[in-house]
Amino acid sequence: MDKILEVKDLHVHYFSNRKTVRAINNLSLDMQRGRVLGLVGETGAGKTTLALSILNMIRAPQGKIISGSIRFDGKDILAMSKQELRELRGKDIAMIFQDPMTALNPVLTVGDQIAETIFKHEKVSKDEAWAKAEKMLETVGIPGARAKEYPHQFSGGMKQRVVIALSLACNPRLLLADEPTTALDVTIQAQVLDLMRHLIRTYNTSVLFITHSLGLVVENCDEVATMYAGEIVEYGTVEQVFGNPLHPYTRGLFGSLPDYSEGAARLRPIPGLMPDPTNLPRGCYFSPRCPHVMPLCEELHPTHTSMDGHLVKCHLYQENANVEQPI
Amino acid sequence: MFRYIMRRILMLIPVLLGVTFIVFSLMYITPSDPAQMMLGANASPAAYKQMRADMGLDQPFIVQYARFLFGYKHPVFGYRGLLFGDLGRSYVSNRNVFELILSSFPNTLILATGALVLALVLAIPIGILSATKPYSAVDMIFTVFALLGASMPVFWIAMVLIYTFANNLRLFPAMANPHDFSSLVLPIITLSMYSMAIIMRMTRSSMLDVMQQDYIRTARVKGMDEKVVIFKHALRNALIPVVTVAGLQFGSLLGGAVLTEKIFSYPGLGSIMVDAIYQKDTPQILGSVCFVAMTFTIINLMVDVLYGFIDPRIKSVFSAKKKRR
Amino acid sequence: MGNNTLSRFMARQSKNITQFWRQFSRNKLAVASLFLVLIFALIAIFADFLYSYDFVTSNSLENALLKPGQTGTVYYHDKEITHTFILGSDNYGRDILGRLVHGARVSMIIGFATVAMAIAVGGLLGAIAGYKGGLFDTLIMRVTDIVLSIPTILMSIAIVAALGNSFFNLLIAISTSMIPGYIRIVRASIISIKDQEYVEAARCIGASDLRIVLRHILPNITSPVIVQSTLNVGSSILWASSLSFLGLGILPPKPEWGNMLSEAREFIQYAPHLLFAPGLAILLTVLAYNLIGDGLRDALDPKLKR
Repeated sequence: MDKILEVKDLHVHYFSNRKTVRAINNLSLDMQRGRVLGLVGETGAGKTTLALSILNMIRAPQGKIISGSIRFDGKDILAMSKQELRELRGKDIAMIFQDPMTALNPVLTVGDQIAETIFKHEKVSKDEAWAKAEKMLETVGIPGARAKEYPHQFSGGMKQRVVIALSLACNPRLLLADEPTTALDVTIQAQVLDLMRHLIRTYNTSVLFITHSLGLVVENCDEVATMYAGEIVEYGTVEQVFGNPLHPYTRGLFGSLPDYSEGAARLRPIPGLMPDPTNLPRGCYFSPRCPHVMPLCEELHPTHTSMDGHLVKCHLYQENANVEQPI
Repeated sequence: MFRYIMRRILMLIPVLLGVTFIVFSLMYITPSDPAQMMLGANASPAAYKQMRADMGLDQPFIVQYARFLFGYKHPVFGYRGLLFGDLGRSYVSNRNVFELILSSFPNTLILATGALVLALVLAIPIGILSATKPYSAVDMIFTVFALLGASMPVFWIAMVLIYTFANNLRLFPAMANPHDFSSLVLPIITLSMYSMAIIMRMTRSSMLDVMQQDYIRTARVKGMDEKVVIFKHALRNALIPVVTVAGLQFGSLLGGAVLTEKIFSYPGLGSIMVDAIYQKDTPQILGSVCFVAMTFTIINLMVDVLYGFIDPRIKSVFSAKKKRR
Repeated sequence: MGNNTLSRFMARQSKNITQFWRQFSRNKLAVASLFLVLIFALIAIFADFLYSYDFVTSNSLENALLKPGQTGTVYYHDKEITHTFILGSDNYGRDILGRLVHGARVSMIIGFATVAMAIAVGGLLGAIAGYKGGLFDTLIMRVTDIVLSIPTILMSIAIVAALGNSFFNLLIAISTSMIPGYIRIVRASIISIKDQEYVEAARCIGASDLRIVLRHILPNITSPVIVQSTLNVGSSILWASSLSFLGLGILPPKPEWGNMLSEAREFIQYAPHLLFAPGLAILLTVLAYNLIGDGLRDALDPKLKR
């Protein structure tokens, strides 16, 4: 199938107080064109860092992409010049942040903030850019006349609509949606998600949908990847992963969902905490919390095992699988 | 917006009245005796008593204060009062107090404006530069400069500048007057030093704070040029606290020009005020201090209004108030 | 009861202080400044052992305007002494280093006395405004606004002009312009604390007023007051020297850094050394207090802790 994004052997580190935070560790991930990939994991697993790395937005001196490659439509993002990156950002790849309250500039009108993106990336006049900005606002259900208003005049849900209009303004081929609904009320969440689904279908955008809600993944995604301590531990279609979760961590995530058929008392949280990213275990990063831990797990870091495209990074599956090239 | 400004101006009235009251009280308790001053040391007790009555000094405090505000009828010492822009004549020069203030204030204004403009023109770009490269060598140099600028006594800066540039290098005159630009260079540098330091530090910290905000990340993600990110997205937000500080600085520049004017023998309001204090010229002191306090208050109001143009959140608070009324 | 509360309060404070010092000592510049201020304080305290006051205030015109390091013959208590003027002498033949040393004492006293006065008056007024509210609050805050609308240096000049030229009046003049700052800090903290549930709760379980003040209100006020007063000591010294420079503060022959510079004005062309020592003394002192203030703010203000 046609790959829009290929991330290979990515390592990203942050530096603080003479310590190195290993945020992304040997991460590889592919995305198919026109599909929605759900990325799930706990807070601190490195999801946002991955999204920022795809835009080459990890800023020195706090953070650095140590090694690896990120190819977007065959072009290596990490090798691009600043100029090429600025043309890529906002036009080919757009991003939606978690908190719409702080994502918009308080002293600029929302119309200006959308129009400047259009003006930057498309060959249009300022007036045409403004007209298109108004049209984008109408697409997300906001009257075009409100383009002259400032962010503080919009409610939280409305602001996130503005952010969506902003990110889709230049028809990006890839959209990185970083928990786009987490900061919103539940009712508003549903509206915003409906809108996003509709727009994604209309514009045929590929989406990396970052969330920690498995429910949202089932509703919105085609593929799903589970992230733990800066690496992908399981990858497959939604049917594969939800029908037959393989990695103990993914299973743990399902276990920690309330299962109403068996009564709320069955809630089983995963014991323990994510390992300290400045001091990761030598073997499998999940081994200190894993219910199926074997001596091997504490010694050797597992590699990917593939079963009909369903990938898992766990020693439990290593022997009974045909070992493939890790993606 | 207009209504807001009107309301603020109305609110100024009690403050200004309070200022005049405080300054008047201070002058009232002054141990110096104007009647004695007018007559000289060896006047007869009768003449002295007559002079006190003529000057209105024998009246109780409240009457004197009322006269100060609303006027005092007397062929020699009479005046129409503060409310009508007349405080009578100086005891020393016998010139009209307000005329003297109005003729010298523009000179002070030139100095203070020059100093503020110099401070802003240098401090804001340097503050931005420091904030975009925090903890770099450039930033460190300017941080040290700002720390020194905020700790140096104005009169010392003036003396060092005079010693170096006037006495030894002979580039600029040591005495300043408003008609010769080259003579204004040293006093303007002197006066702007402290404000420059304060505005520089404020711009740097405000800019650093703003650059951490999510909307800056949004702008970068949209592919905006770094120039646009800094000057369009960050600067306007960062300027909000800078405007406050600059406004306060302008006010204290007007008041604080006292030392600078004195050292450069500059004919501004500050010099006149200090001379009046040396000579115990009560009407002149009263008039000058009230005038500066009034200007200071009005500048603060103008800063508040200026806010509205920079920060739309504040502007809508104004209009919301308007709607409610 | 009071004693017990007080001792527990002290015990908690000592633990806080250790923690605070760890934070503060990270800022090398602030620690160096503290060291400098301590040295200046020692010099100020032992000024009389270094140079006698009579010596630094009496003229010996034959030694006028000596360059740093020159020696001269001084008649002192009817004795003839050969004296080395380490930083030279001024136009009256007085030893500059000696005057600096005694000037340090004056500056130190002014700095601390004005701030102490401002804290006492401002703290009291702020506490009344915050605790009583109503008419007291309105009245105090209106007057504060009025005082703040007069530029500080002008206010001080006007007060000295009105009250006359004396040391005590100088203290009043300088501390008056600092009072509004303390009124605001104390009032704001008290208003934000007095109606909080934990204070209500403390009152409900019968905590005494002393206990409430020590346990709940004082800790919230101390940090901002300490920071503010450190910065104010610096600016107080600066203002005092400015007023003295204008001839409105400490007048010669009493040694004060500002009036030393004022006297030097006419002679800088022949004796530039008159200019540098007092100026540097003011600069270093004010700078040190500013740096300590910044350091304290970083160490005490939890909002800025990173």
